[in-house]
Amino acid sequence: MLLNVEARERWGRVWEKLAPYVFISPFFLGFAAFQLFPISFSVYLGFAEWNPYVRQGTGLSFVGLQHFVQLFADARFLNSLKVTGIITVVCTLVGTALAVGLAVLLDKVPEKLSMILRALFFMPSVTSVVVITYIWKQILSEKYGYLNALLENLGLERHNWLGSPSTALWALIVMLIWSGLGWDALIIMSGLRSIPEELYDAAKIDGAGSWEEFWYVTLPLLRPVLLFVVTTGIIYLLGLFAPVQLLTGGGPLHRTETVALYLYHQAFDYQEFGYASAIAVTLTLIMFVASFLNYRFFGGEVEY
Amino acid sequence: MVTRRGRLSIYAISVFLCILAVFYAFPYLWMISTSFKTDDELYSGSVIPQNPSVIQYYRLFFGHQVGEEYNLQYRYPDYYKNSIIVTVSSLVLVLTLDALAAFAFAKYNFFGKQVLFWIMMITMMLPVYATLIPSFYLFSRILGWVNSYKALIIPGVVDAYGIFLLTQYMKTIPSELMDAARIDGAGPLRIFWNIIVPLSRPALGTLAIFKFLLVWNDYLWPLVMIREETMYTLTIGIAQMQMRQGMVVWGVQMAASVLATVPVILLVLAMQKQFLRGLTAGAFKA
Amino acid sequence: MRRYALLGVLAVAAMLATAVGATTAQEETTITVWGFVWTADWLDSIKDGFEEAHPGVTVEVERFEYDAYQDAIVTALASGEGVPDVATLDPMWAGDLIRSGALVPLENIEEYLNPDDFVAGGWDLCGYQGVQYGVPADMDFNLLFYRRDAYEPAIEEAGLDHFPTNTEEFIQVAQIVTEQQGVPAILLYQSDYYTWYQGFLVPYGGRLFTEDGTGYAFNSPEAVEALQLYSDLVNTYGVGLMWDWDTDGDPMVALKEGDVMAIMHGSWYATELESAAPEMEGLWDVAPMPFGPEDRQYHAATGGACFSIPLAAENQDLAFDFLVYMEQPEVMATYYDIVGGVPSLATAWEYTDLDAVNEYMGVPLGRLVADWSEGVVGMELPSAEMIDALGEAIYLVTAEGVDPQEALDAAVEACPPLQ
Repeated sequence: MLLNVEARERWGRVWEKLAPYVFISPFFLGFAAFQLFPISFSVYLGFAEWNPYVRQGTGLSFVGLQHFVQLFADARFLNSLKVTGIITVVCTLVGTALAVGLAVLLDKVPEKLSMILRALFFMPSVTSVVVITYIWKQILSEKYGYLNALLENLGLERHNWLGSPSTALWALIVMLIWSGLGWDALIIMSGLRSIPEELYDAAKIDGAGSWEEFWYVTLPLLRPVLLFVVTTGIIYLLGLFAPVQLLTGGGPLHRTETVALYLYHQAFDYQEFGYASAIAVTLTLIMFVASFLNYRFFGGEVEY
Repeated sequence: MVTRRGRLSIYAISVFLCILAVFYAFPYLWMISTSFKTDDELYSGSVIPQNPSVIQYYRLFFGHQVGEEYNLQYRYPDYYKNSIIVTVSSLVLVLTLDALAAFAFAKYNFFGKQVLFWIMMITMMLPVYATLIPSFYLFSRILGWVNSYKALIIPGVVDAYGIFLLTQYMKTIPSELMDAARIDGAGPLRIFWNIIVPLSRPALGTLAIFKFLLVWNDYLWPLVMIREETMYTLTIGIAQMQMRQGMVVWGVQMAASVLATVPVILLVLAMQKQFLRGLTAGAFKA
Repeated sequence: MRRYALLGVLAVAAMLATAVGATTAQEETTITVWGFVWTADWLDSIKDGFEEAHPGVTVEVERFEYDAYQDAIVTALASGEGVPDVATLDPMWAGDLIRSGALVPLENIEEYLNPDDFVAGGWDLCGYQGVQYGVPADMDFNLLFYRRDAYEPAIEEAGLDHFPTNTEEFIQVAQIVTEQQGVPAILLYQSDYYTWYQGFLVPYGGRLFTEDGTGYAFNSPEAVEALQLYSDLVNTYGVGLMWDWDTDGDPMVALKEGDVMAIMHGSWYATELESAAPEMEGLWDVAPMPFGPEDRQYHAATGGACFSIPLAAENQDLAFDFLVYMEQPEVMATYYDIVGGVPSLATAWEYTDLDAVNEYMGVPLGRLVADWSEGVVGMELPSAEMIDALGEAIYLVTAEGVDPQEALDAAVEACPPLQ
């Protein structure tokens, strides 16, 4: 009996020590299986060919740097880099500027109204990208869409918004900015609210107008929030896939084909898994560099 | 004190924002209105249906009668069922495991803690594309999980963001509460269940909404893993409707979208407070 | 009719059981057969006959929606999980599977089936570089579905006594149609390789691959001419309506709204029209593709479902027996009864009522397809890269006014080399 209690106590102490490892193990097991293995394998695949149909052995064969050399001579890949770059830069700059403006205005109106409006602007952020894209697709449809019907009623010309190379990318960008605006504005607004009232009072005493107030007080203090918004935005945009695949499929003439979509085509349409992995590795590196640069230039000595 | 000029400008801003909001919400108006149109009106470009009808909704569940003999079934109830199963199971699994891991990081000192914590943080940076192809290989060739719920649920356990969020929150729970319980002979699991979980409820609520949105709206992973129509989730199912041959489906598609979207919007509205708190936490502590 | 056919099926099955020797297996075996919607219906109806002839063997038919099917089969073959013993394939994407070595070459199939019993184009369809990788079900080649009320007066006005059978005649008629109706005479799919290949390249005598199958040939003078015409229909003659599936959606809308007077599709489109536009009954007629020079050899290329055995299949011998079984005339004849597609197996035609009049169209559609099938060639199996590259070339020429030779040369350049 006494021994039993002792044993139980000893077990209790061991368990106390062991418990944290047990608690975190599912994460790290999952991490090993679903991330560490895939990412290492992805890097390996970037240097290999994989024919998934081969039944003898694994169907893998090592080809060295071939894919990476090929990548930088591949006009379609370079084009996808350009497309992704344009989308990322335009959406980040315009989207963030609009979101700051919206947040500032939302902050000024009575709380009740502000809450309703916030909920409204926030809707696209909680709506499936599939749903959003199909709504836009119907509105922009050349032959039976609302926009062209409206233009015609106003005596203007119809236009093939999604089908012509000159406008498809811009239609996509407008949709992206629209769907991300509410989310960004909401985060920025929470940043606005955390700026101490006294700073504004001080600025007023110094005779600052509302524009100077915004420029010299609001904006600098918003920097941590903006950093967050821009960084998460850039990472999302660099890997943009679903809205493009659903809205234009990358066309016309690959004018909207992003890197992630090209990767998907190579892998799942052409079964070029090795080449697609080389693209994936390159894309990952680009994302890391972009985040790093972003912290370097934007981050400064901001405290979190 | 608000000056007269100030009040006027607040009034002007309010009006401006309301007008803006109407334009902003137009796509939603379009979605709802299209879902209530009859076939004759679908392609007319009108905003308000002349003869509102629930025929598009009816078709989702009872089939699309075309001509005399042909009745096309959409399997929409299946999509909905699959989405619910996957979302609920993911939530239960992920919240439990996240909370346990966060508990360990927040309240225990153990060898390797710092390193493990940083490894975890780095995984937050990995884009899904970096692992997409090998994951496909792993899940199809090695595990044989193609077309299964498992494939959609299990990978969710690698949720660094959730663990991070909960760790930050649990750190604010006073350790004295735990010590007192320990003196009473409570083991780690009992402390977790009786003290930590109840006190972390707000953070768990926030995380639950985030996860819910993420899983419910996920597109790429189910697209890769699910190839059988009976296993489609809502997102994949609605996306596939577009590609159906020989069918004119604008109306049905919008009806499906309304039913997939409105419950989510209502849920988020109902839990707006928790949601906002989560957003802010994410913004400042990232 | 149906019962009669079933009796035939059983009789053939009994014969085959002795002729082919079937399997001697006494233990229970299940072979799985995958099909998409319509082929699955048919497979379901013929499996009893096979089971009868092979005691202990169960045939399990798995049914897929057409759009999900390609993904399902590619995933199964790539993962090695749940691979079917017999798979229905669409030649539009079967080429990549064959070239990757995912299918069993049916080397001695000609000991059991006689290619001369088939329409030449239909049999060739499932072959690649001289090796047969499958056996064909039906023929699916493009026809022109046109509005009687728009075309008949125009043909009369043009002074013709038949529906146009070459480019020159067609343009003459189409211009009258467009003028009289105020809407384009024909719908063309934007950047659609398939329409262009079937309806334009083949009549002009062009090919996708060189004869020996080691290189691409779609930048030949014939191809340039075919692409120029594709563009001219819209841009020069103003008789075509360019339609993009990706952004415009299903063209059925345009047909129903009366926004265009003709469309190119396989004979199966009669069923689509009937189900989506029942109110237009009697308005439609059908003709072989009207393009090409006066002395054209073929008016289109034929696709159609094929049945193959995956390399990863478990019961390959039984699967082979099943392929031979389904290509018996009495068995294959039921394909027409159930699906409506005319079998490539010409000896099957006498076992079914091809002359039956399609009520919606008002013509004996099956008989017409059988008659017209002499003028079709077997489709060459494209690759996904090729389809994309050609789609791009077609877009550049039709929408951007790029020179066809230049665009096609670039497309050849963009395709991966063939071995």
